[in-house]
Amino acid sequence: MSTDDPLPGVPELDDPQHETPVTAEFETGTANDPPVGTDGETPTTVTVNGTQVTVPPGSTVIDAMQAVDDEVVSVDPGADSLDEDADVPALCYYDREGDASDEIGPRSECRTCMVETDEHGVVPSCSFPATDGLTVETDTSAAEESRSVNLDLVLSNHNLRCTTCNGNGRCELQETAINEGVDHPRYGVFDERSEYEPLDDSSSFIQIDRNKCILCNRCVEGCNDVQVEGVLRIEGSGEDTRIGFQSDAETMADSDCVSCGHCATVCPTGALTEKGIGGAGTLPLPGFTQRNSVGNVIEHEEVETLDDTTAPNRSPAPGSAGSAGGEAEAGQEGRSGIARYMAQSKRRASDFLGEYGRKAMLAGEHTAENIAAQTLPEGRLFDIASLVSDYRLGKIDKAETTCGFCAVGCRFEMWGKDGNALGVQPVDDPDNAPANNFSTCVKGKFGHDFANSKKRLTRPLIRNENGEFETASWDEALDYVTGELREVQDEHGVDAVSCLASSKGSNEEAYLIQKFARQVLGTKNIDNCARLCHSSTVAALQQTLGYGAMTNRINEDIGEADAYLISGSNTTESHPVLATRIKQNVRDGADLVVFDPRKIGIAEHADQYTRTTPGYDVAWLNGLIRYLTEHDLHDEEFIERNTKGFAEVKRNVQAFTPEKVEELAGVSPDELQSAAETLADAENVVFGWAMGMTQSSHGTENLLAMADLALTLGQVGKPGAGLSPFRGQNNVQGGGGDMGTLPGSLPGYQDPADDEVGEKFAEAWGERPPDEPGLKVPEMLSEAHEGNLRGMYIVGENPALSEPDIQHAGEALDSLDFLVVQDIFMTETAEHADVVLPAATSPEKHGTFTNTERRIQRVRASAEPPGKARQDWEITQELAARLGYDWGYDHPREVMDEISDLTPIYGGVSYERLDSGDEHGLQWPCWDEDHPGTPYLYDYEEGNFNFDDGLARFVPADGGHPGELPDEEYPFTLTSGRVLYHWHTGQITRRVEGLMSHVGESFIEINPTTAAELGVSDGEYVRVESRRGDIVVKAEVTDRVGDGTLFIPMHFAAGAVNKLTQETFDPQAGIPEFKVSSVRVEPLGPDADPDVLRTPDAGAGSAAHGND
Amino acid sequence: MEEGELPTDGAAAVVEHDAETTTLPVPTHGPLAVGTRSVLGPCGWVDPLDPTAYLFHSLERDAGAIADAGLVGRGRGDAAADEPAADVWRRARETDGDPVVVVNANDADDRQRADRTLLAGSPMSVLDGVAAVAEYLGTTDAVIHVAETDTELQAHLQEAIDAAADELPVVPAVVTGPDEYRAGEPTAALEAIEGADRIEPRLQPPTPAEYGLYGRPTVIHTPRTFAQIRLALSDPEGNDRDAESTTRLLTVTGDVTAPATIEVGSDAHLSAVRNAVELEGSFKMACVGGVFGGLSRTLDVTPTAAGLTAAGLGTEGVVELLNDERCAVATAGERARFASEANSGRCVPGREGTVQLTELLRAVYRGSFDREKIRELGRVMTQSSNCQLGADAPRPVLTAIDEFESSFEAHADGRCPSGTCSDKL
Repeated sequence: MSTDDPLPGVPELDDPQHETPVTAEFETGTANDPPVGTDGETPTTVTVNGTQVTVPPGSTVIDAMQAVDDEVVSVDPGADSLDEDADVPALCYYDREGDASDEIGPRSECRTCMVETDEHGVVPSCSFPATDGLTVETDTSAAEESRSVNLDLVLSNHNLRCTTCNGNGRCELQETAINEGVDHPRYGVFDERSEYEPLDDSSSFIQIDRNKCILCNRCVEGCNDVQVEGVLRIEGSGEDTRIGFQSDAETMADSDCVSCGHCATVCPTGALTEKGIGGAGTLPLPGFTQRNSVGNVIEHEEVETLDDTTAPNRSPAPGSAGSAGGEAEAGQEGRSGIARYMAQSKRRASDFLGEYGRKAMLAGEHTAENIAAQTLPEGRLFDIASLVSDYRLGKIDKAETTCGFCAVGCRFEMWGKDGNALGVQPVDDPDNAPANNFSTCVKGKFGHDFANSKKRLTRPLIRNENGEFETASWDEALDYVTGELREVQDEHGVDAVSCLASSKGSNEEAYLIQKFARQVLGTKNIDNCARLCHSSTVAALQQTLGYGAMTNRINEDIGEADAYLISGSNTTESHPVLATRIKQNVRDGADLVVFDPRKIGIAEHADQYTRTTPGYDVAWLNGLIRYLTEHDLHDEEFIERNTKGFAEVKRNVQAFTPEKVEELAGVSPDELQSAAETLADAENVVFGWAMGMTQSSHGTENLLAMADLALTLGQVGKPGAGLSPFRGQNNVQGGGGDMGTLPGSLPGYQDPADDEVGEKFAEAWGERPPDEPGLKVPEMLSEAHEGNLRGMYIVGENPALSEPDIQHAGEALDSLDFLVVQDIFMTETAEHADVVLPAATSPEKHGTFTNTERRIQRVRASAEPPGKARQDWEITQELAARLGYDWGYDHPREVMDEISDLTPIYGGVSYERLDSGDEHGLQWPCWDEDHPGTPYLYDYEEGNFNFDDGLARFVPADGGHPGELPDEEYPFTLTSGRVLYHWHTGQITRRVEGLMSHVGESFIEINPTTAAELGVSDGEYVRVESRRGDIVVKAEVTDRVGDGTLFIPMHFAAGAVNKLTQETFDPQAGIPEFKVSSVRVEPLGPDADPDVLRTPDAGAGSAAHGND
Repeated sequence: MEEGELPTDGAAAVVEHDAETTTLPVPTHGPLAVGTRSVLGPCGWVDPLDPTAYLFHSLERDAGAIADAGLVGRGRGDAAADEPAADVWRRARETDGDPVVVVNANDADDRQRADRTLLAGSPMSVLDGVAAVAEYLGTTDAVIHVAETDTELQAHLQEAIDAAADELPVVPAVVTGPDEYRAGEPTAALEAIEGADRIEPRLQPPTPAEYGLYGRPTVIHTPRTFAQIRLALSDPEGNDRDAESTTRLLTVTGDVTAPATIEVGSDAHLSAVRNAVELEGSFKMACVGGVFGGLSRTLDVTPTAAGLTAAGLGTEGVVELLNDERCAVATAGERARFASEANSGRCVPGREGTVQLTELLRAVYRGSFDREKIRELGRVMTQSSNCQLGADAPRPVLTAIDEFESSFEAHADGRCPSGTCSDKL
């Protein structure tokens, strides 16, 4: 069926349903079902088992049943009511509150929710409207019979192999069957081995066992309606109905799946499961697995990771990258000829043995299964399975926590076992996951494996006289570090040392690093990697609005806007869960305008996509303001009431005529006009951006212009509107700014030069923090070069790969007298260190993260740091103690108490509130313990901008040219960015096999026209060269980029884009211009040198080949 | 012919008539004399493609004129099957949005031939009815849904529509759907019309009148219903309306030399159909109501929805006459198996219930006849299926057990009384 050509539809008739260009192409195979529930705007009253209940408009019968007491009727697969007769399993119904959950069902497939009404007979309660006056009885014989027979019908086509099933113990069908007391299902169960569908194990993350599928369609909706990705569908009819793919793919690995994991999250059975969690509730016998139970398996092909080799998956033979797994050693040592052949033969022999053993074991397992199936009633099998799962799942450590990847602040329940991170499940109460409900992206759902890596740092390391690292005890390492830091300061002054805090760690940890710098070391030099991402945003928003942060909320405002202007944000890849909210809202009718040099994923959903020339964003932003004011489309009253400086901006933008904008930014007058009108027409507009705006030599001006535009339209201080920097690191808002890890800014952005502030800190700390601004990250490196900065304490940062011109950065780190790096892996930066201190990562921590919407949320541990690795806050506290400052914290909770004492915007934050608040998390400013937090900043009517006069400031922006322009020698403009499957410098994601199987190595995007000019073909390795250096990367010919523009992701050490980028900085924020460099490209063909490919550009092994 | 004489050799009957006659003159006896000729009147008599041969009632009045006439929808493809059609019109009028009228004429089951007979022989009557309903709803959007393989009918309809376009205020667009039994279900037809590449019925309620084609209020009738609407419009006051004029179309098929579509009044007796065809062999039973109709030894019932339903039979206008070479168990089994193959797979009773129903009948052949288990499954499927296919699928089995229980027992004992089952299922 699925391959049939679609029917023509009715071209003459209007389809009023809004669809984006992307969603219009989705073929889910499911009917265009009507909305369920009562219509109209009045509540209705129905009677359920004799009890009257009034429910809001839009309610179904099941809503009414859930609204009455559990003793009247209990609804859900695990319903275990007091009165056995009054429970309604509603097996396929996804019983969860919130936006994302509302996208799932009701499909009304299983019909185990049938109830009897006086008016309409037996009806499915999950989808039947709770019309006024309806009388519902759940325990009539007809209703009970329907539920019971339909449940048995579901079981009749379900492969009841609970003890080997990944879903054991978390299966809604199993729960229902147990609670309904199913002993012998009327129609048996599905155990015709010859009819088993092969188990699809081809994805690294998600296993499909269609033999366990009950066709509830939740996965299809999770994929199409929540993720808006259009991968899964339902196909076939009758007995051949199955879950398949919208593309021609036959397996998960071949599909366009982005591994968001929604399908596995919402699957009620063991049909779609997370491989990481695997058989957490199955019999712990070797080989007793779902794979072996089904027998016939479509296998996964493993790829290399950073744990295997320093330059994974890079091989000159076309198409072989994916099959290089297990040959890391051979590749690394450049084995050739006979040695390689021998290694392969050995592997084949062991494969053969493995296969033989597997078959023998399969036979045994199948026999055991059959005996069990033939001799035990199904009810007994359930009992055994549930005993096993109770015991096994009881051994799982579960903790509700906040994701450690990006700053959307998704929350979920992290599962850990024996100190390792297993995977994630949704939190019980969707209110505790305000940004995401159950939604996740691939990294949040499946990317935590890095924590279990065998390459984690487990003991302190000290570099010996021969330049090699030796393991050391904590006492040795800590004594050594404090001695060296003190010596540097004694010889070269207190400011000869600097600290880099981490935006990945907790608020408490970041706070302690800046306290360590300012109180213990007495240095003014404290910064963090936010310098490289949104420092220009903070600078611009502080000047215009007052606070350097997102003005609004994610779900409630970004998710509900009427229009968007998104620029310089690859939202679907960098902030996937936030992007799904935008995609859903755009599907439902909101207008999306995207300006970007690349036609990225979010642009596919846009009503208007305009390709811009990299480096000239001020031009088109000013051009928009000019158009709006010229056509009286600005919000005059708002401007009059709440702002100042408009006249100056209006005068300033006059130079940005449509012709000028086209000349500079490549935006045509028509596109400018259309964008201006879309934004002006909308009631509420959200302006979203990320690195594409900020990482520019005039990044601050870009964002001044963006803020000016929002003020011109009066789009701040109200729901559904606002200026929304999509921030990167999980805790960049808190640990990268709020906590004062910035030169010249104390916690809560307090001015150290302000005597009142200084004295407050002096009183609390016993030392007054230095009152003048210290060095910014790039300045630290250049001062290190100059010999002025001699020592650094770097926590959870990787400047050796993240700085522009990394060769120069590497030299700077080498020229330090003393470098201590505190991290979880031997990063490219740690390779330069004198001491390396092993720390903990997010699944192992207690603390708080502050997400991009200023929401402070709890982080809880479900795993333990490996070996002797310690919590970051403990390490810093130990260092402080050795330098004479006894902090005496016993738990991060106490650090937060100190933060709230000293930081007015965090004044009302405490663990007690975060752990027990009605609404999860607190959004700053939260002034005191009675303050509810601030959902969105400022007020459209009143202003309330964060200045003494409450007025927002228009600040003129002029822009200019990027730091480097294409010329004859280096004719192409290179830009950089991220991919969905990796994180920043890739130290954590390059270790996760499944993420590497999606994107396994660095690459360069080249427009087909450019590629033809250069003679570059898709998949071929090319050398890319700038004035700073050269790298070799694989070409991907695509029209995502425009002609003459190139793109390389930032995540890889082999093919490291920052070997090419330049050290031009924004003068106000000090952010480097990562987004524009001039390069040239040379195709290498099949002769690309394997040694070059296998040598990273930074980190281990780079020295041997580097600096050439 | 040239002499003004028609050759009458071999004619079934010869009837004298006036020059102005607009309906097929019928003889007083013989197969053509069975029943009446109201909606079927023009069929086989009037040039189907000549609009001037028809009096278009929709030009005079819209369907609102007969909103109180109690006309019910005809056939499984009608969203108002056996229910007052005017209720659906009212609901569509009350719902916000631009209404659409759909003629659902895609029925992959060729037992039912009345719709095609009307569309072929008197398309103008159907178009007249469509226009009257569209006018009442205040819309100009109408669609006629026909089988994609029936290109002949598509061309014929297009010609009729083109010819009527200048006369009628609204004419439908022709849209094709797959030749699948399930595509004939009204909401599945909407899916086909919208271009879905996999056809399954929608959830209801709300009904298509509230959420239909592309979510717009939609009235879905079969050609039979539209022809009845047109007939009722010819006499909006109901002066001449009596039992005779409220007719039903029945296709008589099965073990007959040639199937026939006839029209009977609601006071008629179903056994009249026996006279319209020539049965091969001797009569054993009838399956009344299409592939999922009810099996009956007699035809002792009036052909109204109420009469048929009370007798446990189906209201789809089909009577299959089956001879004594037929086995009731096998007939029921074949239909259960067809249901298991033809369903959309959407709901559990439809998808798994039909499979288990078939299995329970296979079990009869293996010696196990569990009538209570079959009845229980049948009840649940009827009550809890998402669409009519699943709800109707058990009917042949349940009626067969009622009428031929001993035959089931005999099969369980390894014996087929009619001697036809060797390895049927």
